[in-house]
Amino acid sequence: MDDFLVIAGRRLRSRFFVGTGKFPSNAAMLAAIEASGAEIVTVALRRLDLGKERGENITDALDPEKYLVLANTSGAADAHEAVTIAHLAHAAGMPKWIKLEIHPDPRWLLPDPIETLKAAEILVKEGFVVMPYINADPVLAKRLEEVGCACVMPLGAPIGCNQGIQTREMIKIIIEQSRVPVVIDAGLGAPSHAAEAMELGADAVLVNTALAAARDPAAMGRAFALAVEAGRLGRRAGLAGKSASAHASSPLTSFLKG
Amino acid sequence: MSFLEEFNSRDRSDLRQVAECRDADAIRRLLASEKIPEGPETFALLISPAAAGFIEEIAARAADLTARRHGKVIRFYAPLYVSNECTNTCTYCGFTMENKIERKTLGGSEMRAEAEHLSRRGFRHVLIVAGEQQKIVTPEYVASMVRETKGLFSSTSIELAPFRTQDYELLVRDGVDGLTVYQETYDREVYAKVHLRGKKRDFDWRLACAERGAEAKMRRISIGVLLGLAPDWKADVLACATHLEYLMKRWWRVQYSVSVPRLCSSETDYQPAVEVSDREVVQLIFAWRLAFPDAGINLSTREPAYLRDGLIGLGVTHMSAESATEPGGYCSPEAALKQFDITDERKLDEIAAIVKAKGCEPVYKDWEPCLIG
Repeated sequence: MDDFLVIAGRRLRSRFFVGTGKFPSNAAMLAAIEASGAEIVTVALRRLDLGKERGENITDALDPEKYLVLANTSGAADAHEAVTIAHLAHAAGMPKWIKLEIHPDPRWLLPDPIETLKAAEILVKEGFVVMPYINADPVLAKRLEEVGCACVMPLGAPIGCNQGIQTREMIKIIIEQSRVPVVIDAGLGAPSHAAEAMELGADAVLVNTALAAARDPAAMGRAFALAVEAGRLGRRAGLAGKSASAHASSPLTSFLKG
Repeated sequence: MSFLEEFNSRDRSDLRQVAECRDADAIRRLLASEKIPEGPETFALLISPAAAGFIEEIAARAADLTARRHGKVIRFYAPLYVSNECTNTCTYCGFTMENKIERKTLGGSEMRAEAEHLSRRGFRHVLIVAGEQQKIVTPEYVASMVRETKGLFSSTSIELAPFRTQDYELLVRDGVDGLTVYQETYDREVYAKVHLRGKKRDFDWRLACAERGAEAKMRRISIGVLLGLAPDWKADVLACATHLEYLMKRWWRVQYSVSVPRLCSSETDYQPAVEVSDREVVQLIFAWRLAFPDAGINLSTREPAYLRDGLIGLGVTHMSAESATEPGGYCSPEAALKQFDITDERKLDEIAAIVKAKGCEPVYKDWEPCLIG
């Protein structure tokens, strides 16, 4: 049974996206990505030295046939900086896809909704496939969809905290209302969190810290991949409910004759 | 993608199949969920024969959802017919061009008199209705009629021929905040058979109308099918459910409601293609409520009093009352001009008393015109 995720016309078999920060070594990163089966891999442009020869950057080892390597705008504190980073990434030969993240706050790295919407509008007009990282705000998600973002990426919890889906109720509303794919990004610390996101109806998840900080990143990559698949299958199979239905004390439809 | 494109490309046969479900366990599973999934799939399951066996349990869920999402209230409105002129031939409608009834279009003072009458009766929300005579009932004419009612109503909706986006923008500027447009049937073949002449033959123009209204920033949009027009009424309401789902996601700022009108006797001798029973209408209303908890549900005076009373608190959010379906009908009733016969002829006060007795609040004003413009 084919079950592709389509973003901006690109068909993806894997619903598991991986970030490339914080790994103990490039080798560990590569092993984790390989084991994860991910097709979309994000990298902070600020980590790339654009002056370097090919082979010296962390992304050079990633086979472009196999992976869609996207820049993210991590480090940008406002719309202007994010747009500049996107331009740089494209000029450096990266695809015209951008994971938009703007966090002026260095402590929690929470995304700035106003600057994100501004930057998204500009980048969409310029022809970028824009994937914005946002707080789990349903109205913001709709606004970003309206300006033409290819997906929305609400957080489950602040970046790197591994707390799982703390924004569950808002995530559910975003999923219910969205016309573009919803990718849960940030906060997923264990494979069970990823499965939960998929069971809630997310289209994909993005994980970085949980792999990079694991004792065995490659094994964790595989564990997450299985969890994403299990959650997706569970969602599609139709989860049975938890609570019993309400019972009226006296008949409500007795007014119906015959 | 516009709804028209989605409508043309989407195969709805799977949904139609679900609407024939006879597996009681499927309904038990659905009703066991803490939160019933929203959308056309659930809607299809809830209009199935299997769901008919759970009508009490479904009614309880409908009552609970209605109270939580809409409150224990019924909002009242009255239709205000401004013209029965029509250039369409619609085989089921009393206004059809062939019908040799007297034609009338209200002038400014007549409009003011009608509006004052409704205002005195206690109505604050009105729905301006007219036949489709594009040269007489123009957007400018309607705007001038709305201006005649200035200060009398807090919400004005329209149910007219489908206009262009810029026409709706004009009307919104003049104080119209709601648009009602029923596709009548989503079955192209039946649509062509019952709309023989006139602009209304253009199925696609009508189908895209709700979106044009949303684009023009209408705050409320109401859609629906005329039950009994197409032989397969379930296919019709399923298509309407996909329409509502699309609108809610694409034009998410708008407040939507649905109607479940059944064909009434009119001045034509049109016989409904299918009889939709009271029990089926009730099941349909519950299906709308459970599958689209945020949508309003309108129930007009076409329906009998016992059914309207029984449904208070169980899903319905808006009711008309004391309706006259002919232009000028409030000040000087003339049966010969009517679009159709209403069934519930009770006075507003009488219905409001029943609403109260059922533990709900009758609401007359639920909008403030200064919020727009």
